[in-house]
Amino acid sequence: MTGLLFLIGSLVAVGSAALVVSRKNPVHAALFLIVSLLSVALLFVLLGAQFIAALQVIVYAGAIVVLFLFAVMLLNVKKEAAVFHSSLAHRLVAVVLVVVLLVQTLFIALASMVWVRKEAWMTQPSLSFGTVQAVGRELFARYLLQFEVASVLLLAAIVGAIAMVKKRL
Amino acid sequence: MPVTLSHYLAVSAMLFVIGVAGVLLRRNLLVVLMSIELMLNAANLAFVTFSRAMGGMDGQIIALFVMTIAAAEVAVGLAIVLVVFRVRESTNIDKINLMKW
Repeated sequence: MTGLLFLIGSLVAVGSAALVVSRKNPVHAALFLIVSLLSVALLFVLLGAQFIAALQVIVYAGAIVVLFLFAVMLLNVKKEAAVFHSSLAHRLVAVVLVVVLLVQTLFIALASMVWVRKEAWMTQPSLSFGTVQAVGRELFARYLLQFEVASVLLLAAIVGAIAMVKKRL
Repeated sequence: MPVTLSHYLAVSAMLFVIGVAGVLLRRNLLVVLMSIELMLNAANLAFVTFSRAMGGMDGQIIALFVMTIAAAEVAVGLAIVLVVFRVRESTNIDKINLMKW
């Protein structure tokens, strides 16, 4: 059952990601990005990280992509005539780089199946593995400084975004 | 065949490479930003996978922080896109060439 769910989740994630980068209409790309993010949330649930999965849906698919759609609507971006770059040399170099990167990362990801270890790692985690309590316990004890710094970072981002867009300070 | 760590890492790798392809090949600035979000998402998947493999919560905490940073980056990035659009009247990244030689 988890194998089937993993297959569905990963196929939908990768397929809709491929559609995100190939759509002419940016609104379609944003909607396929939502689909991809939701299927990655499914993968998070399969991994046992329920809190991160909920955050993925709420923050990523529910706030960040909505912000993208706001920007698309504000700028009134139309469908473009050509999707990719016009210069053939540019496209060729990009495709070569992408293929090399794909081979490298897939090799690293899959080599451990053949060379390093054969033991299955999917032992059942403890019942409190991905829960809110477990994340909170770590976040507010061991990572407290990083948490506070992240809030300052968010403040800086808000101030920066407003300062850039305002016409008269 | 049971689903192991490598399967999730392979999915993360493919998502990341698709994001890189989007950044390198697309001309629309907004779609480039969306591809960057795809790459961050792939990294999050890798972090949570390793958190499950090692049993600790650190990977999930880091994934939480990556999400926070992604939100901040999208806000600032879209502000930049708005300002560029005001000047250039276009979201084509080939038109943003004032600093080119």
